[in-house]
Amino acid sequence: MFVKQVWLEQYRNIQTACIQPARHLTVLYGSNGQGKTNFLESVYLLGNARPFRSAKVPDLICHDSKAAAVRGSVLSAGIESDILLRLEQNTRRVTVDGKAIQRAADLHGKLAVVIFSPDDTAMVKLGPETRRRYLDRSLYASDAGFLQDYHSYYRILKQRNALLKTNQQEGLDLWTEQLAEAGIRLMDHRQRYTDRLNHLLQQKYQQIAGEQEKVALIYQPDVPCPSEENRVETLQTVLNNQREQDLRYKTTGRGPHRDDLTFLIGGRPLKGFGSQGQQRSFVLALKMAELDHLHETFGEMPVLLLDDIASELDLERMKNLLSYVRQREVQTLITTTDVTPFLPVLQQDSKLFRVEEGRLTYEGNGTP
Amino acid sequence: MLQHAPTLTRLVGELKKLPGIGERTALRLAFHLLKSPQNLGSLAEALVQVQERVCACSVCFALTEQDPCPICTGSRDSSVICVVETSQDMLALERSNAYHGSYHVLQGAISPLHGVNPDDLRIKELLTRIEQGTVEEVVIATNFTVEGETTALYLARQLKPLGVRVTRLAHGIPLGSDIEFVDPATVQWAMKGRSEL
Repeated sequence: MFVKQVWLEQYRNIQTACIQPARHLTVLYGSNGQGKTNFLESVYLLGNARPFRSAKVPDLICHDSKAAAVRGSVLSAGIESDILLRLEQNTRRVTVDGKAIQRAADLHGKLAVVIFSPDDTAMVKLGPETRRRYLDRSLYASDAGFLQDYHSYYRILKQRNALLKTNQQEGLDLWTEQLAEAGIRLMDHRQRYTDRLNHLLQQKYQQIAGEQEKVALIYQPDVPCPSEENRVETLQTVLNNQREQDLRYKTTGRGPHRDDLTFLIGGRPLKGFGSQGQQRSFVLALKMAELDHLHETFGEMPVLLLDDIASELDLERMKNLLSYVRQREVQTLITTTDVTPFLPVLQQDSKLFRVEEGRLTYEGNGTP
Repeated sequence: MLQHAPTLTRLVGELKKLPGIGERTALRLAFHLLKSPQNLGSLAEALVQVQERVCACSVCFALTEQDPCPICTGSRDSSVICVVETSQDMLALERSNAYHGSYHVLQGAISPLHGVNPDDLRIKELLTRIEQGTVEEVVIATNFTVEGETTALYLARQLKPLGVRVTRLAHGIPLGSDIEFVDPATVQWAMKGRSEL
């Protein structure tokens, strides 16, 4: 999959831009706050119809403007599609080849995107909800069916919590039973996906870090339900035992909405025992595993977005990474404040853009 | 201009209360009605008549102009009751021509988020109908949403002890559709609910 053209209108601080990214490597450079990440975000938006940074639709629209548009020509499975997102006050409309789509799932498979940004490295140290959000988002990218189970679970949870707030006990068993069933489905998705990523992770970590240290990604369900049978009953029993406490706190205390991921290095938690560099390499290796997983799913490499990569990786690791993505024919877009470290890796078919106050200027391929 | 025609303002205000109608559409509709007094008259008549004549059937709670409704009093199979959330759902089932039993309209689904408890639905009335003893099967046709499924589960719990057969509508791939165009979640459900040929 790759993006042939991106056209932006009144998007964040970018008044208007029409960019044809290179097939392999595109570098966007400029000072902070000029609009580099905004551009990467718009590419992400084309694939997912939602921004990667938590943002509401009005935030995506340029000041003094009522609407914004993001449009892209995307090539997947040899077919070119025209994806158009129109953002107005609180609505977003998505059309593919001029036809409106109703569900985000209809956009699935047109453009898969993997993003690596400084926020991702922070995930190692932050609370479980950051890792859970990462897990669910990347899971959705490869399996659209997941969304349905995800939404059901959280809808039931919301209903159960609403009931707990009324102090009524009638019907609580019903919602508990529903929650357990949907919970097991959600946990199955998460377990399968984590196992698959973990399988790919080790090799990626060695390539990136050049270390033999053993790494692992472990799914940490809040309520482990290991046995093959009666898993729904196991979860239901835990939820029922929690009943008194739930009624007291007026919220559901246990369940998959409290799940977490554990990152291990040399058998110990990465958070406490991994160096800064190891933490970065781990998360990047995770992203590379994601890339491979999406390749397995769609039969094509997704687009890779690297936000402010120079602040995250040293020169050696960055070179390793870039030669890897070139060899695998991954379309890569990079933002950086300093262009110098990238000059040696730019090639004849690369493209360099300067970003200044929301304007993107093409500066050739950057090679001498 | 509108301030000189308070009744027109009121009409626009009333139209705006309807779902999917905003200020501009309301204005457009109001002016359109004013242009053709004939239509205006018959619309007004229809509105008044609907308010006077349409009520909920005292047996099945479907909308009707005769109480009990023709389905409840007619020659339909009264040993089967199909339970739906709304009268619109019942209309959809009627259009299918696949069902010849009677109905029971719950007038909603259980949803604590919207303050709807089992007591707010017509469930007691359904149980009373079944206790009369002529019903053999209850087909639960609530929606396939979280709320509809929970309502179905609740009904099943209440109904089974009464000794009736309780069934649920099947769900899966829509008829006449190519599997390639069906969303993955539905395909997953259809695979789980596959049946022997």
